[in-house]
Amino acid sequence: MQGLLLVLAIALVAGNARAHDLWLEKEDGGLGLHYGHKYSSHGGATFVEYQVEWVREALCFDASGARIPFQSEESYPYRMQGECAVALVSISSGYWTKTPYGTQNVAKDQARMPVKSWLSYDSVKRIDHWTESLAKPLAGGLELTPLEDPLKLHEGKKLHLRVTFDGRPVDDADVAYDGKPRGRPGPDGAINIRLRHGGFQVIQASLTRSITSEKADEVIHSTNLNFELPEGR
Amino acid sequence: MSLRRVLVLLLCAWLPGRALAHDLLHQITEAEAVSVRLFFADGRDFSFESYEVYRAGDEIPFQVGRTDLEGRVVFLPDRAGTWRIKAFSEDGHGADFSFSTDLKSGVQDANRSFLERHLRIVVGVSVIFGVFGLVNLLMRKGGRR
Repeated sequence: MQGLLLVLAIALVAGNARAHDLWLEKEDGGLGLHYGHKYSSHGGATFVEYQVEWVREALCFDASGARIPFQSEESYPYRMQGECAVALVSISSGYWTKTPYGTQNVAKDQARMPVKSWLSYDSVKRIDHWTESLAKPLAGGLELTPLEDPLKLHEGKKLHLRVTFDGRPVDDADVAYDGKPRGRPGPDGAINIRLRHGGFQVIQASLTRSITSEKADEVIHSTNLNFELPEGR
Repeated sequence: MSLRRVLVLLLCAWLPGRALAHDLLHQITEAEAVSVRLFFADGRDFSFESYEVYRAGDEIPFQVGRTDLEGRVVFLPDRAGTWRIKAFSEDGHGADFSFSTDLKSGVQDANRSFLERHLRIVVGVSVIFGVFGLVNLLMRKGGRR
């Protein structure tokens, strides 16, 4: 028997399982919300057009950490207009179910031959101004919080972060920088990320929780932290 | 034997062949293959997702399909050189990369025996000889009467 020779190769698809980049980009005097893989350096779609109805919550904070009003445009891409020191948006693309015929945006009980299913939550926090008041979680769900002014850092420096879920530290979240895994936080939710470049920064955390439900096997929470440093700094 | 009887016999011999033309046959061979596993950083398989395999520079895929349960793309390259794989899921994840292999598919006619390569022709010729032998036998019996 000559045998079936398999030449094995492996290829990495994305940083965190099922997580996309969700980012807030300065545009037209405000912030535009985008979804896709522009910054996580792999072959996924650069922009994934989301439904504006997916936006669950959008918050704007001043430098003291107090919520302030802002204007929003409820069309794709979702836009925020306001003087936000920190802007925070959370979305949910709903239920997803993997089947032998591909992944469908439906709950497990609506899919034929479900293999795996999950409920997806994503959020993004963008920091444009910093005070010590912002060194704490600002919303519910999974959140990345800098413990120091991230806007004063530069390439090669470490950013000290805390990962929380509903305000409490978590140690089982996968943290990535530019889509590349960087490890898990300690018991106090703390993790240090070395910044590899100037310009737009994308730090992500992803947390998977098993659930017992007819609609999904697990809930995947993903969060993104954005801030900008001068290029080449 | 009358010419009519000969024509009927030939028709009977021809009809099963036409019916068989709609049968889907299969052939099992052993071959060298390239297997590429796609997975997420946390180890989860990129299973049951769409992929395309291209020869370097080609615009038409060499192979399309879905990854298997373990997130693998398995294909039989017909030439050594650079190959490109694009894989993508409905929810926007994916990978697009190229790699080289010296592996050539073992599915080559030269690697099979003469009988394996020409089995259909041999069977077809045997059937024709069999039919004409039968016709000849019947005609001889008819001549004796």
